[in-house]
Amino acid sequence: MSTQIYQLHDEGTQATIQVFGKLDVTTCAQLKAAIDDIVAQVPNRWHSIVVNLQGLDLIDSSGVAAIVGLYKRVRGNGGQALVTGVRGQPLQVFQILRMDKVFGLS
Amino acid sequence: MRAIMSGAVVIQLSLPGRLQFCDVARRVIMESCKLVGAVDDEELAGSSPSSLPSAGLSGGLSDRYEFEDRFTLEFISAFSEIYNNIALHAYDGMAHGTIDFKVHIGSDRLIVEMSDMGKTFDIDAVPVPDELPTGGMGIYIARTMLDELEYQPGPPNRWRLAKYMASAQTAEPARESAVHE
Repeated sequence: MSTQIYQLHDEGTQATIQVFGKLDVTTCAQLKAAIDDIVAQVPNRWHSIVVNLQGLDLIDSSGVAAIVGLYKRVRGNGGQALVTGVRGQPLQVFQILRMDKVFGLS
Repeated sequence: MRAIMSGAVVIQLSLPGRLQFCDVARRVIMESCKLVGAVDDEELAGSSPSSLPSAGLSGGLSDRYEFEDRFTLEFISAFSEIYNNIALHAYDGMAHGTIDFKVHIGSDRLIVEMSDMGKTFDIDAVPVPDELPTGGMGIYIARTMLDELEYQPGPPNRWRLAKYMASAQTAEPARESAVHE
């Protein structure tokens, strides 16, 4: 039984994807399918994508790769990408990988 | 592998070496982290069950991962990466295989030994990840979050993950990992 780990919010020229719970090697596949759909609509439908990780408790390197992949592909399509709400264990992982500076995390 | 400290409480566990069992292993390690410094052999030998510190399992487990302290957060981060490494790479394409765990809970440290019969790899050849990596981060994360990370190719392949309570405030990379006998 799999739990839905994300919600996508269409906010006009911006979309926000909220990720919840655990983003690891066992749950990444769910997010990757959504990422493909999101990227395909940048920049024609959405100029910017916000990845909100406020509800994320646990991330591993596969989850980080998924977030980085989304970030790079959105920007590669000419859109803006923002990662917000990172806290707890995911924040520490991003800090160790020095991504906090790239993403502008506190 | 170096000798484990005497007096540590040891948990032994064997799981199928598949990703689906990572949460089972993580829960055991999370609860073990809570017991670091809270139990010792003498306490276990002389106490009734009702007086023992609780590992927290009796109240049921939620789906959430809520880390109460940095030690547990860091150990679980590292452990997840090594578990995945074994399930994904060591046992890649293999229908059967187990991961054997020995968890040594000490007064000021947690040491987890893991062994598998999967493929070997050269841990020293793993590069430091670049600025925005899309892969190859697991060993670097584990080394940074632990005080000691050792890998000895087999068969069986053996891992040793060690973390000390006093170091939980830092995030310096672990000491060099390859152990050659």
